[in-house]
Amino acid sequence: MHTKRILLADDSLTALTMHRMILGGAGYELLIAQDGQEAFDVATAQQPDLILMDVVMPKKTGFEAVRLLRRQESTKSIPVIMITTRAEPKILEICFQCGCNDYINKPVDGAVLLAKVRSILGN
Amino acid sequence: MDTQRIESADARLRRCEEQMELWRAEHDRRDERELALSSTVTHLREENQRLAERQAAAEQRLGQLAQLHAALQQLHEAADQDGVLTVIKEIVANLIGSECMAIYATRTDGSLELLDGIGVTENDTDMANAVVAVPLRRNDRVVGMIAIFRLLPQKPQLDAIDRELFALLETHAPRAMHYAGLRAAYANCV
Repeated sequence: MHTKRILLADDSLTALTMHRMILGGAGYELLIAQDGQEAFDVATAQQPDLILMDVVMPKKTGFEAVRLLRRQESTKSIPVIMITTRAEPKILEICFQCGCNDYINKPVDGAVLLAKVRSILGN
Repeated sequence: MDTQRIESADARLRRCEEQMELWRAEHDRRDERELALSSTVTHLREENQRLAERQAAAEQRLGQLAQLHAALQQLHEAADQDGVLTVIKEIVANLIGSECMAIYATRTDGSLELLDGIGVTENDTDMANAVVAVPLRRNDRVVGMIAIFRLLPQKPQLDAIDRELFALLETHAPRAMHYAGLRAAYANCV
């Protein structure tokens, strides 16, 4: 069984360090992107099994990056978990309209993050 | 002839009864085994539940330790004082959960000078409006303050890990600022 690969897309090094510790410790291979455009490029080139995407990022927002990924044949079915600051229904609606599979509100709870990732990756 | 037949029937009946006795004994043994297995399964289920709860608690704590580690690492890896301020904002926004906060330096007269923040203006220095105010101490002297004026709507209250992060910020943020300043001064000299 191949090690599942997760793309972490976030412009905050603090958030990236935290997610890397939690998911790396759980045995996942991690790819990193620090803006929306880089997230799109890395996802296209590396075909991760899951993307963990922050909404507010430079160059392209998380929403824009997911819309682009969904339009592309090779990346349209990669599951995406969006990390949102705002939990209002309107924002969550945009999340799902863009094609996200799930969302996590900030501040991210490590146990919730692991549970959602396992639920999507099936391990 | 009839007597022989009766004896034979009696013998067959006895054999049948003996066989039934054996089956009953076997049945009882199976019942006992089933009972024992059922008890083992119950025990294993309880053990599994206990382990799942311990794993959940361990993962919860792992997440919290990851937060503390990330905060500490990023504070001390910041290249300059602006970098430290950015990390403080990231810690408050991403790990504590606020989009309305300010970082102040304490002037010599004790008043506060706004250094940086999220969603605040220079007039927002009234600590009475803060949900929490974290003093920044260096060598037992208060050199600044982090004030959080509002938490994110999905975060109703502060919890234990937030207090651990405040304690970390209280001592490590001013230290990181100080050393980042020294590094910058050294780089300028060189």
